[in-house]
Amino acid sequence: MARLLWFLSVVLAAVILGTASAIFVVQTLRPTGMLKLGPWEAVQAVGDASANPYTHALIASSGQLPPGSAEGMRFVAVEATDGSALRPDCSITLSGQVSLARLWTLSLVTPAGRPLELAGARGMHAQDIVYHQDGSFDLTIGPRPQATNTLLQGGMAPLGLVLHLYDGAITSLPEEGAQAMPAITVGTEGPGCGS
Amino acid sequence: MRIMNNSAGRKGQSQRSAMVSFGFWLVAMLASAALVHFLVVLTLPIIGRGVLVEQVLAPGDEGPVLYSDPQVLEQLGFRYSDARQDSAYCAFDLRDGAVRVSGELDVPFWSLSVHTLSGLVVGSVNHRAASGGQLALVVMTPQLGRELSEAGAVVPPDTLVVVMNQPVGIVRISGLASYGALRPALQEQLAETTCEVQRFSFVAPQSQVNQQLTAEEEDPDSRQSMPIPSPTPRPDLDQQ
Repeated sequence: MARLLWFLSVVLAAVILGTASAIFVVQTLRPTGMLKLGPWEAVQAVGDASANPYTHALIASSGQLPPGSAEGMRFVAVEATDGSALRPDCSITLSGQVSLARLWTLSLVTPAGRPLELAGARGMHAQDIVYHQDGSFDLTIGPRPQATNTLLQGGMAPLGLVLHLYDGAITSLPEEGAQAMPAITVGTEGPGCGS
Repeated sequence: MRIMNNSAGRKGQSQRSAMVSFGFWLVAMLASAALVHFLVVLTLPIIGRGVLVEQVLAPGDEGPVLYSDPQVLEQLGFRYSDARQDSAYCAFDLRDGAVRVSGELDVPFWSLSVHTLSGLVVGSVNHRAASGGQLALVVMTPQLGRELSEAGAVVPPDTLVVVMNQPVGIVRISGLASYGALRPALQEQLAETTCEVQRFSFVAPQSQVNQQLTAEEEDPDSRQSMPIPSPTPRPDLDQQ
């Protein structure tokens, strides 16, 4: 009886610990081959048959089919450049340029990378943007229209941003580093923001 | 005094025994937990996407199935985090034969990508590889590819061949609309994408043709003695 209890306690603890650690690792840790440019992160070579089991599990659990190398690259940001959270009740500003591609889109998603359930515009196309003379731009995401480019967002759900570059995959860090992608700042404007 | 020493000794022995027992328990538990951890990580791709595709490829379905209705895609869980992109999906089972997917979209960027059930990309191609505005892919298993090659199968011109080991998978056809107002037109074009079992035409293998010609040149009467060639195998159809 004592041995049976000993065995059962080992199995129970192992199942709980093993499952919890697997889910924790898949959901929180970043797989190898991650390309990080400022707050933007993309998984390099995702989908290759050589992908490690954790990347494989991450893709499967995300419920999305990742882009192939001929379909460009998908960068995700869940925090601002200074590390602060992308609060949905505050205005969020993207400034700089996307020097890695001419054709790109920006979409609002949940922090898990799923499309945000919002009515109306949920994304911007590179052609929608009014650029400065040097090719840079400012884009504000928030509840009120701004003088610059604006992506209206009135929801209160946590936010993530997806910048999909369509001109091809990147295999190494660009020379300009994080400057190749727009910086993200969280403003103080917005209902309940700054409190 | 001796009794007290014996009692303390027994207590110490009992504590050591408990610690050893706990040590064994800990080691056994950690080893088993590591096993469970890797088991969960390795089975997540099978469980995660497998459930979805069992819904998509219903038992008894003959041939590949094309899904392009945005509402159906939403129900099935095919979602993509790009607000300007629309996609159609072709779920296929290569045990039915090779699958041909072709499309022609009138948007600035569009692509085809082949995925395993777990989501890994097997291959992808974009509109720059289109011929006459059309992209066509034939997906097959390596075994079927070898059999078709040996049987002298003719791959249709301007068709890209993708070979994948897993028999079941998904092809995604995606288009990027420049403006939100163009998405309904893009969705209409996606609905016209074709996704079907590929039928091949066959030519006699070159070695057989050469053999026949040589025989005819050397000995005109040898035609009668030539063995009747066996029918050309049709592995793409035999497997159905």
